Amino acid sequence: MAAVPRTSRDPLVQPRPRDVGFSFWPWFLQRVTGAALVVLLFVHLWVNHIVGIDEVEAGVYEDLVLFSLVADRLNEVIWWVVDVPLLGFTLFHGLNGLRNIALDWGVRGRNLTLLTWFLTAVGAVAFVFGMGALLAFQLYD
Amino acid sequence: MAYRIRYPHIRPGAMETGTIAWILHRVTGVFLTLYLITHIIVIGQSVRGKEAFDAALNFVQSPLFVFLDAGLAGVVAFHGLNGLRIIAFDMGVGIRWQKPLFWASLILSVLIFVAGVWVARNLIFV
Repeated sequence: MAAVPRTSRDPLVQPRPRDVGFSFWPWFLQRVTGAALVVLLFVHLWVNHIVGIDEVEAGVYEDLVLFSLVADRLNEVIWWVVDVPLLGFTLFHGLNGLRNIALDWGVRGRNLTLLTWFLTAVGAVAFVFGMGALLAFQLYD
Repeated sequence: MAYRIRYPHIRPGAMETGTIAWILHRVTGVFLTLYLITHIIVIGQSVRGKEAFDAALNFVQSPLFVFLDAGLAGVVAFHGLNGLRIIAFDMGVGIRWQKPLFWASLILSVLIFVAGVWVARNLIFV
């Protein structure tokens, strides 16, 4: 673990961005996915957990989230346009956020490379499993 | 015996508003990532078929879990609102109002938690 350079109070005397663990694309994509998730999660929470409460209270459905209801929703293409980015963006944003914490702790070099590949593997497995979970609603319906 | 305090700004009673916001953003972020993995596994019960999915989902829609969902909505709201605050600062907007913007994020997210409990009140207090 390389030492993290000290920052100075003088704004003109600062370590180079890459020495404090900064790189453009992780930073930029964290902002883009974050802003997109504010919209996507609002839609997700509203449609899955607020719409339909009346029917559950009236006894029309046993639960708010049922296999048949999710399957019906996923018959429309628009919900794949919402749910697939939701799966990918949340995974990237969450796992890149964990990497940002490691960068703040001063993880650099070989350990950082290992961590990046580990988090990428976790994200890839979770994404494939999540896509399988979505496809299952079409296969078993 | 001299010792070095690794994070002198993270100490109860000596925290600036920005430090509190930073810590809360990190803590809620780690929590939400752990929740996300759990959530994918629970929804992933669909791969075991309709009955297995409905059984698993029935368990996590008990009154206690619905109440916890309202709390989760509050945590998501805080992380989202504070995240928008961070994006604004990255674009050079609103840094002058960083403290009131943090408290606004926190208060709004508590209100969203309360609103969530109210909306789902008949599913929680049965």
